[in-house]
Amino acid sequence: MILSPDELEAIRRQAIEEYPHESCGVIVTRGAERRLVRCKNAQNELHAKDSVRHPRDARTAYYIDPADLLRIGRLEAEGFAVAVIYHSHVDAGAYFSETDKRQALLGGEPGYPAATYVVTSVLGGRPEAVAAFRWSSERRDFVPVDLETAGGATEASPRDSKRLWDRAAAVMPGGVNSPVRAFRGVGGEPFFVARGAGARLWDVDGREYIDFLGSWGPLILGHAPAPVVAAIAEAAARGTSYGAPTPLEVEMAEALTAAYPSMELVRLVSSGTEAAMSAIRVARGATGRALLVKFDGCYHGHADSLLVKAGSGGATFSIPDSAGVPAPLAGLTLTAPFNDLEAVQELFRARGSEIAAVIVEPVAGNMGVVPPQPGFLEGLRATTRERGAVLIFDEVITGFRVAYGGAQERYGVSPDLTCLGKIIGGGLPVGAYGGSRALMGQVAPLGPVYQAGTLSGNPLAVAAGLATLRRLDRSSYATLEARSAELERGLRLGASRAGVPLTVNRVGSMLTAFFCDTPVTDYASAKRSDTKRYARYFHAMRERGVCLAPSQFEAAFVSLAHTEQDIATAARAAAESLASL
Amino acid sequence: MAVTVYIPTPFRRATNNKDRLQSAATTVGGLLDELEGAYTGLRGLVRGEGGQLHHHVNVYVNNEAIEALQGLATPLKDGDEVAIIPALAGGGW
Repeated sequence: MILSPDELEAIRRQAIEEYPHESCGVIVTRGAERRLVRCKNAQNELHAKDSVRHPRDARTAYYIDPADLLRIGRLEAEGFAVAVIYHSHVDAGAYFSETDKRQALLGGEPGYPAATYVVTSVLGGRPEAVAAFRWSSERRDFVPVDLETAGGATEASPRDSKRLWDRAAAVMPGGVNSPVRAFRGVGGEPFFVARGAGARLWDVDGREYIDFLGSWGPLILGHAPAPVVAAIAEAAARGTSYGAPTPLEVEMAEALTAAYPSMELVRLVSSGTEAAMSAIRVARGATGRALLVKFDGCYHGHADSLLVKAGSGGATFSIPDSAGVPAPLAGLTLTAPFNDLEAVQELFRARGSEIAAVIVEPVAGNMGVVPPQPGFLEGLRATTRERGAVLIFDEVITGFRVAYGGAQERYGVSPDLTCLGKIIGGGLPVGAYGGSRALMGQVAPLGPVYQAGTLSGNPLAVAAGLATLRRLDRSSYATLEARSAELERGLRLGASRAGVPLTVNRVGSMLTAFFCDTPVTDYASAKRSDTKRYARYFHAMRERGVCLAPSQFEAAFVSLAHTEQDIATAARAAAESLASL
Repeated sequence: MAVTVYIPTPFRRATNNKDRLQSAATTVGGLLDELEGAYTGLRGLVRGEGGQLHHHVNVYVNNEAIEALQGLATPLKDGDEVAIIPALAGGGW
């Protein structure tokens, strides 16, 4: 027995009573005798008294009051043994955290090797799951033990992710705030994230992952990089939004225009969707034309005009158009296959005088990674210039990702307008669009193209973005290239050993392993992938502690937080997973 | 003269599983020197390189924390009871 019903009840009650502080205590046993020692959490007062001897190891943590420790020591001296050490997690799951692990080990060995650690999660003052962990001397780690099968007295207590998923589905469409997160592309139920640090992610059930989802691209430094977290905290302390100009916005605009010479003027917005939507408006306003050309499988956010043959979530769901986009509006968007310059020229021959803009992901990322074939971007540049249309590079993913100066630097092709997002927000919501002085001079208040935003240039987002950009230099991209090439090598090797047909496309630190045996150069060839096989691979990788995007048609992102060891571990997991398919 | 030292579970791996030790030391610092000499496994567990107690370790003399006494210089006398207790701490982060 880990806990009696009364003990469990007492522990949960204490956790709620002490919320939002962590509660703590121990259960000592002597023969059949059991005593629950409810303890005082002295973390705050000890830290206030002596921050050197008692550093704050965690944002919300527990540190059993010395008077209680002595009491426990006396009980031990009387022949009691510490059987359970319990504490609560506030607004987080019932997992055994890194802090818990660090504190439970003394000189690399567990202080109480025979004790069970019980963690109760309290979310918003409500009790959630209770989980138990024990030291495993074979694995040299703390591992979850089941309260029920270990003879515990709890009624069936489902994992936190399962409970949260049920609550989420009751109040949010599909339980999510962005469709692909719902795992429809791979089946099963998503996990809920407790936290991230560096290259790692932990779910509320205490499972640890090496993360290659990277929040879909922004986290080039990994999760919670200290300089970014500090910049956000400093900015937040000065106020979160003013609706008035701030010095950091100027710095950000200067940093962007310096890195992207094609952008003489830039406007900050709050998402990549907004950036693409606004860039199109500028192109239409400047040219006085209505038509757009986009590429099958390229995704530029969910603005109405751009949800036509879009990739990403749309690729998995097979909905090239969204309901709610009026046919006359969708009719203004013409599409061509990616990498097919001839098809673009054909559209221009037919309707060139009506085409305002060609918008393209210079490296496609939303049908999975598809690089531009030699001459494709150059051809788009020449054709649009010749026909008086605006060339828009959607570099929301590729900006500061495939090079500091994005795909336009990497391939040496300058667009008229550029859309940015993701990395420039350091994990906070940001977008940007910019271009030549002539084009951006069309934007209000300089010109007649209207675009505005209450939170545009948000101080927190700009601070996070600048802190991120300041950490990137030429050597960062060399590191990313080396790590990513190693991952690619591991994937190819694993696939060939397992006899699984796999086409790996990679540009810098973004890559996709397509489950097909033919080259992937456009949406049609991407769609030849075996998505059922990808789903099995995804779950096999997840079981081995590697987090990938829950869809075949997405990129994996390597960050500067991924170590050589992380890459080796992930490659090994991939080899095993591929062999298991 | 002799003092009794209580060794809690986490440190017993260094004391051949003994939970009580005797010492003739006259200060807490001297006591720790003596224990670390006799049980080398205790080195590093209780004190850092510089000889100061780890921040997560508390020493009590007759149930009083030495922080409130004279720290490592706290004198010991015959019959005193000393306990060396590591913190229990952690948290959701």
